[in-house]
Amino acid sequence: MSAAEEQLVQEALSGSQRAFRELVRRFERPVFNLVARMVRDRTLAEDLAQDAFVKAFSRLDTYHASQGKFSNWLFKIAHNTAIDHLRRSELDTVPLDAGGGETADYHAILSDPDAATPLDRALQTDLAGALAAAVERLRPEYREVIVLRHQEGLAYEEISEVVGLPLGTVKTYIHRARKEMAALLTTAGWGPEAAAARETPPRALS
Amino acid sequence: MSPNPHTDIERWLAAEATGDDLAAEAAFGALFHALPQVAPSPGFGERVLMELREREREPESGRVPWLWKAAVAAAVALAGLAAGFLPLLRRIPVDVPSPAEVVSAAARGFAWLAGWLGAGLDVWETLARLGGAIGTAAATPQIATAMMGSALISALALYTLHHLLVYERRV
Repeated sequence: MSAAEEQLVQEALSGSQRAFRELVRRFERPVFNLVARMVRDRTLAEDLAQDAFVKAFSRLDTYHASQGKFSNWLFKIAHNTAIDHLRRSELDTVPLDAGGGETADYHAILSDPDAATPLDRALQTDLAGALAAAVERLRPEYREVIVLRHQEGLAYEEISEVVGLPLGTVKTYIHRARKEMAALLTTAGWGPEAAAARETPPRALS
Repeated sequence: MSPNPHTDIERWLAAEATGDDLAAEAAFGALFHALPQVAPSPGFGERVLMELREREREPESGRVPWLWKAAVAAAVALAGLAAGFLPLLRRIPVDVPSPAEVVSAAARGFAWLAGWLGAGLDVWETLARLGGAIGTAAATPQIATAMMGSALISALALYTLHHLLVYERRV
């Protein structure tokens, strides 16, 4: 944990509202992102992420720097909160990108002004949307480890601690998740063959 | 994600196809890392802080923790015992020590301990005499009840002061 984060945690333990506010600001996005990927419902994810933060700050005195990074401790609480809900509920949740909400975010965020051509910019947003849709198709435990590994940058051992699974299982889940997403994207037309087909100019009609 | 997303995805899918796990992991990581995080709606942070403040204020709104209730109940019960049952105890043909004897014995015990430890200070004798004097004064049930009542009032005052201070710190 960085010295600044450690300082913030100590100030929050002393009751500093400013420190609480800063900790929420730093971690609201990663925590919400993780929970949202797991439950695939934005409104529900906000409630669960809020619960996770309240639980974490209510027992902030149980956190010690020797346990590892504060973010990993927070992820563990978020993981437990989301998993408890998933186990209690058998309701099918609405995918995040239903109604174009998240896809609309991608169009706004991913449009890279430095991309070579408008086609490239469009391809970026399409690919991001395709990746997001593929993630949605994975089971919750696969989604969670993929997000922790490739968006939050946690090491395998850290993921193992957060989700409470053996290291081997975490590696297997990540491997399988990647394979499933590769199959989904290839089927959706993103494979090398499809790319080659797009680049080949159409034959002129004789 | 590179400006040409096909480069990224082709690299990944080609590595998956050839079974090159390390290359696939690296290429996929570069691709996925660029995926934006899903963000909560505006005001999320403030809602979290509001809920935290609500939960912290609940004890001050009138809900007394069960531990304090048990302590108060025990103090009231002891005061009642002192007022009502001590005279009855005196009728039992058993040598039950009076509060004065207990306090005196405790004071003598401390004095002996101090001597045994080699403290050798006159203050221990003074404390023993003081303890004996207090014990003699507390010989009647009425005074014993008054002393327990004072202890109860002190505990309640301390509890109230503690919560007032905690409330002021958190606001």
